[in-house]
Amino acid sequence: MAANAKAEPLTNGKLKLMICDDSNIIRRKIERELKIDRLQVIATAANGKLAVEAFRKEPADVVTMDITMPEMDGIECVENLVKIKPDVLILIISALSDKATAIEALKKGANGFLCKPFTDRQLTEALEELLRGAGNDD
Amino acid sequence: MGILDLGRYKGIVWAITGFLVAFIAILALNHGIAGLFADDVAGVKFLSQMRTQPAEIQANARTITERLQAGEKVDDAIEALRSSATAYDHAFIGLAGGMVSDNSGATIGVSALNDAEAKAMLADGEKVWKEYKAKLDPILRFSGSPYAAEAPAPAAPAPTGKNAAAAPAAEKPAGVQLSPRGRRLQTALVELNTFAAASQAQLSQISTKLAGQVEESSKGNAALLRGVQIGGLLAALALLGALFFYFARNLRKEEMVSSRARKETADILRTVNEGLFLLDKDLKLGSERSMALNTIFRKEDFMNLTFDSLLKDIVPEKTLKTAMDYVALLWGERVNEKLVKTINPLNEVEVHFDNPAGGFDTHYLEFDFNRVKSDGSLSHLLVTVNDVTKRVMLSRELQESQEKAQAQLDLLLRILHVEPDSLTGFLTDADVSLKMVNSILKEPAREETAFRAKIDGIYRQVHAVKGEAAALGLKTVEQRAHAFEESLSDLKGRPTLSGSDFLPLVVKLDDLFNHLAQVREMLGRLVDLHHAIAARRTSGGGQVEAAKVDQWLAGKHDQTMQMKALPTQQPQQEAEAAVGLERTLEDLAARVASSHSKQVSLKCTGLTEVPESYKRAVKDITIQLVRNAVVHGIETPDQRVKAQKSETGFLGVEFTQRGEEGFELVVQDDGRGLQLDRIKEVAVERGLITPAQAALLDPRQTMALIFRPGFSTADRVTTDAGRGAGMDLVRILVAELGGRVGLASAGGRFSKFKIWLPSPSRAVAA
Repeated sequence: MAANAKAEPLTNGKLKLMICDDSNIIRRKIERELKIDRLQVIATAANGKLAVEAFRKEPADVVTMDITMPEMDGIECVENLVKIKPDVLILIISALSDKATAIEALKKGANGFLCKPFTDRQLTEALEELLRGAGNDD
Repeated sequence: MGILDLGRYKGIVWAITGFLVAFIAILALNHGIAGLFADDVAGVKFLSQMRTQPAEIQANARTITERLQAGEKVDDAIEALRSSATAYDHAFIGLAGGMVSDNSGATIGVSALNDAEAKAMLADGEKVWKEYKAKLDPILRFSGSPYAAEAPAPAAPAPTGKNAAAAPAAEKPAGVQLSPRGRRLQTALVELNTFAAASQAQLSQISTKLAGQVEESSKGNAALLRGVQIGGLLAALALLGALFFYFARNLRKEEMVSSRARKETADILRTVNEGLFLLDKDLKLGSERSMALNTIFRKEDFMNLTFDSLLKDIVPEKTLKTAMDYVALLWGERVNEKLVKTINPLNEVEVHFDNPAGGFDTHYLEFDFNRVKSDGSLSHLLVTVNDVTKRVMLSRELQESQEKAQAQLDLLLRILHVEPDSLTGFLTDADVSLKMVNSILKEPAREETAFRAKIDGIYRQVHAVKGEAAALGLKTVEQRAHAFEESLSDLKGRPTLSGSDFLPLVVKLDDLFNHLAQVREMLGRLVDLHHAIAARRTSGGGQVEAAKVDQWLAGKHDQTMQMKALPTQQPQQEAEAAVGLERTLEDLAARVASSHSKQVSLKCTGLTEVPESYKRAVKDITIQLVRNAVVHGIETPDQRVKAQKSETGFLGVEFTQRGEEGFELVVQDDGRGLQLDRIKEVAVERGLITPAQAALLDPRQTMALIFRPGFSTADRVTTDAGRGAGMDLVRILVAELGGRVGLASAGGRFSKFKIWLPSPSRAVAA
């Protein structure tokens, strides 16, 4: 499955970020408010299915993931992405209505959770913590 | 850690090094002294040999003498004497330098020979030996034959050895002819023998003494060696003791430090307010935990407890499952601890503890989980538990009061937006409805059917209030009415009912009453505000503003053109009230008519005459009667045309004074009149009377039915009617004032309600 996956790093040394959310507004908000130089958005996806397709073509290092989405939800999507690239870092960004669902996504391999609605500062802090946490574990 | 960084083992390493150095030093010393020992032994041996040497020399000299007497060859005997003399001489020379030779011929220094006493003795010996050597010298220098030439020595006559040699010597005792040199030799030998005999003892004694001295010194060395050995042993023991002391002290120090640390830990765990414990991978609680846990979880025994057994009795199953999933996540490597804290299901979790007095106590606990790593791998989870009940309650109270404040503000804004007439209309209607509910609640009931009827009756009232509140956007009222409705639905759903089931409804009703009072109060404050503004702006342009507020409150916000004329109107207060009620009734009639597709014309007279104390009651009564008249009395334009009436129905409200006794309020319409059959039907349907009773009722009694609680003839429940509350309320209000209600009706032509009210003074007296 990963036969046509291009795993080369970006020439500028940045980490690849994929944004997955069915809301156009949220996708744009994340893209616009991203204040981390180490990350570069390489893809955005409106549902889990599109995200998996994009990820097969070019696996990202970091993924922000909504849970409730059409076609394929965030939980199933996380499961697929981790199968393709086990060391991918996934931040679930979802409303805090159901903690059990969020925990389900984390059980499938997501690394962290950010609650909607979020400020640009909270987003930056969460992504930085995600990258830092990965550094510590290695 | 560097290899030289010995840390706490530094003391041990130093002690062992010191011990080894001391040990090597003792060994070396031992070895040295043992060497001296061997030297002394060699010296003693040498000296004892030396003691025999003078005797040997003497024996050799005697041999020469004997040979000479026997006329035998002396060369080899002289050679033997030389050899022994030389050896003795060398021994002396060596001894003078404090040196001796051992068996192998190596020279060894013997320290004991270097002291003054030994030197003196040696000097004595040397002196004797010097004389000795002088005596030896002529003998040793002798060479050739000592015998005369004519008598050559029968050189080798005795091949058979000693016996053969001895024999000729014995055979020729004096027949040996010596040469002059031979005689000199003989003389020298005699002298030597004499000297040797005299000195031998002295020389031998010197050797013996020297040997004694060496032995003495050897003994000293032996004592030294013993001393060194004992000293070394003692030093080793001392070192061992020091080591032991050092270790014991360190051990004690460490023990003290660790016991102090243990005590501090125990103090912390006993005092800290948080519940603290560790969870291992099997989710078992660790043995160390804070005392606060006992209070938080209301139990003493946490031994061998697992985390789920700690929680399972106090949280719902679903929460427990989510919590266990969450904890399992923390044990995994993937999730970032800090990024999942927000979904901790035990962050502010509601728990229930059984109360010994019955029921349970609700508390809120806050669990926090932190990974504990040792040597880079996850070893435990540190769990911190706090009882946050007070905090949660406070924040809820705060939230509630904020919501309340917000609701009041919303309500105020809403009130400002609602048309004043609609609002007052609603308040009146709602008040009527709630009074109705109250009277239904008070009605005695014993049977299930009666209870059900009560619920239905109350439900209709409350539902109507809710609908109207929603229509006006009075959210707070709507919410309360909805909560009331929910309670009613709950009661409806119960299989059996009893009187006590209705008790909670009283509370709910009270809540609604209070809230409506609040709305009314707010409205009152707005009016006060208006008056205040009006009073301040009595002169100049301010009047215009005050008038504006007047207009608004009077509900004439679209009649701005008349505004300027108003301030000139005379008895302002009176006119205002009268105009207010009249206008309310007009608007109500118009609104109800339009919603029922009817046309109506209202004529009010004498409303300005209503005494102050009756204004409220009259308003409530007239609103009720006007609405009923429009809904039930007045026909639709079609029906009216068929009945040969004008399309627009007529409605009259008249308030007149009746002498000193009291007042009369008449409300009449030219509608279809009371339909007695329909009233009977409805009364039977509503369970107010039985069909048999209905058959027995006369028209008067039938008409009286409409004043019974829960009666309404409207087919559908609408905002304006159908709740059956109106006439009952009129009856109640009139009764409260001590008045009477009269009713006249003619089918298809009119209905007329005639209400008599006593004059206020009489009413008070009554």
